Amino acid sequence: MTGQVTVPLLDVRSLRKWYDIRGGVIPHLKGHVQAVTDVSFEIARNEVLGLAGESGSGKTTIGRCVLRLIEPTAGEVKFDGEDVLGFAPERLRRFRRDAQIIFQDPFSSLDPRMTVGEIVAEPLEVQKLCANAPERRDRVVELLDTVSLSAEYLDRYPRALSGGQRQRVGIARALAVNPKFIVADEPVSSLDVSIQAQVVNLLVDLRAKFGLAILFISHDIAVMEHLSDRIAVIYLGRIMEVGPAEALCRDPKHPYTEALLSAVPDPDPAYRRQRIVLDGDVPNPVNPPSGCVFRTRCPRAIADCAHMVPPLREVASGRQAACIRL
Amino acid sequence: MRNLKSIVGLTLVAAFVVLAAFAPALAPYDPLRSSVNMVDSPSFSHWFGTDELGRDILSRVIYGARTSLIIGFGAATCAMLIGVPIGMMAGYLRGGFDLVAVPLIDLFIALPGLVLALIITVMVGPSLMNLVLVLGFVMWPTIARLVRGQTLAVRETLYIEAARAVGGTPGWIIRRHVWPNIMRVVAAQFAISVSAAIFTSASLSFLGLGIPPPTPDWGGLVRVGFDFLSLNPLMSLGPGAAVTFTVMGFYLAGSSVE
Repeated sequence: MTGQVTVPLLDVRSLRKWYDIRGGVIPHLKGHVQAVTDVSFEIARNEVLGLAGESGSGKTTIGRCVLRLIEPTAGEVKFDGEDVLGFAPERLRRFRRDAQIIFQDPFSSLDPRMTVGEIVAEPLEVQKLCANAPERRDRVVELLDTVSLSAEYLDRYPRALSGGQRQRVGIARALAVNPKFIVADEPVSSLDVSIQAQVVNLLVDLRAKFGLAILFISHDIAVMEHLSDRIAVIYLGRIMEVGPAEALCRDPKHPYTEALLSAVPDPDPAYRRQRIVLDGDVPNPVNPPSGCVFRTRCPRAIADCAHMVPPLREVASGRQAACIRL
Repeated sequence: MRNLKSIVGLTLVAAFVVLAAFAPALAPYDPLRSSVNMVDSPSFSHWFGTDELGRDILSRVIYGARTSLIIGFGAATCAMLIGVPIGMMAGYLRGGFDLVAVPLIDLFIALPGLVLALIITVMVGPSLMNLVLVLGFVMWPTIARLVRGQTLAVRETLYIEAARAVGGTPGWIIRRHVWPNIMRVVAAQFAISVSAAIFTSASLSFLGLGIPPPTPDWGGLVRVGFDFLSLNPLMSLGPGAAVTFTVMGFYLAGSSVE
């Protein structure tokens, strides 16, 4: 067909999540915690977008908003061309068959009173995806097998599992509904380093096997580079730079990306990046700096940076950054 | 320490349940049969003596355990049936339901339970059935408040968010996640409620609003014995001790959990 337009699987426009701060003797609105401000990105089918940022940068909030686990303050989220924020409860429940989440903490995200079998079966039961109990059991065994856990784990409780095994259970639960899209919210950062690679490799395999699109959230840009097609770097709830993973890591454009990457240890001792140490702390999201939010810590800031919010614009082929100095 | 509490508590509870269950076998006399030996002092044939109608007091105390068992478990069950659903819904759904439920719960808790029970009992009349319902009605807010608090804590956990993420409805989440995770605390509160119900019903009986005669019940026995305190203190102290140990037993058993 000519003139066919490819609709991205996930299309996020000007997403904003501001939390009200109320207080005082007579309770009134005192301000906002600006967790996420005007974030736009899209994810194609079978694409992995890495979302990199420090803790408190709002990356987890973005993941939750996209799935409507929390309600965004403003913006637009389209999934397969449909307006997710306009979904009525029943439609939202159906949306959860297509879009799933893997949590950061595999210890508190599994109900301590449920067995592994019950946890993985829950999405199947809730979404009524299996006709009967034996069929459901077979499917659970199959799912556990997908994440390399044997059927003997079925009747175990999460407390009897290691961190890596628990995270596999969490992944099996997310896969149960056969989703097209998964938000992986720091899926490996609470695991031992030796286990991290296993779980990342599992995600790489699953993505190839099931054609998954993934929003991979992490503070560890090195882990992300390995698995992502594109990376978006976020600071104080705003996107600083977006680009193809390899190019962005090899040749960062935005000063913040540069600083973030300089903190990654390089396995090659002959090659040394110059370490850029940022001064000060991340500003308070209640009262972010005017203009560019990064300017207070930016080594390249000039007076003009305080005057306008730099738009995300093309700075090189396929590369976008929000900085007036580029 | 907690271990000791639970051992003592559970032993007392077990003794009480055995007493109630095997009352006919354990009691030396028919608790309702009167005789000419009125207000006898304690002796080998009547350990606690006899009452003003010549009935064996020990037998009446043993049978009184049945009355207390029915009132204790009946009232606690009633209180649970009202308090648990209200507490879970207020805690999980929040919103308008919570806004109405919380002041209502606070209002009931602010009223002294005994006085409230007294007033309602006067209105509906004393009978075993009414006593169970009245005490259940007086106690539900305590349970609702506890359950609401527990639910609020569970509600914020990541596994609840995970359940929402797979499309679990509030009803599903309350049944499958909230309830199993607060059950232990609720079970403990059940035991404490049993002790409170037995205590309050004994107080009501002592005030003359208990189980109508001739059914033996501990509060009533204490009340009757009160008039003969100088002749035979055990007439009052016997059933009084039974109340004390039973209430203590359920309380210790309940409070030893967490």
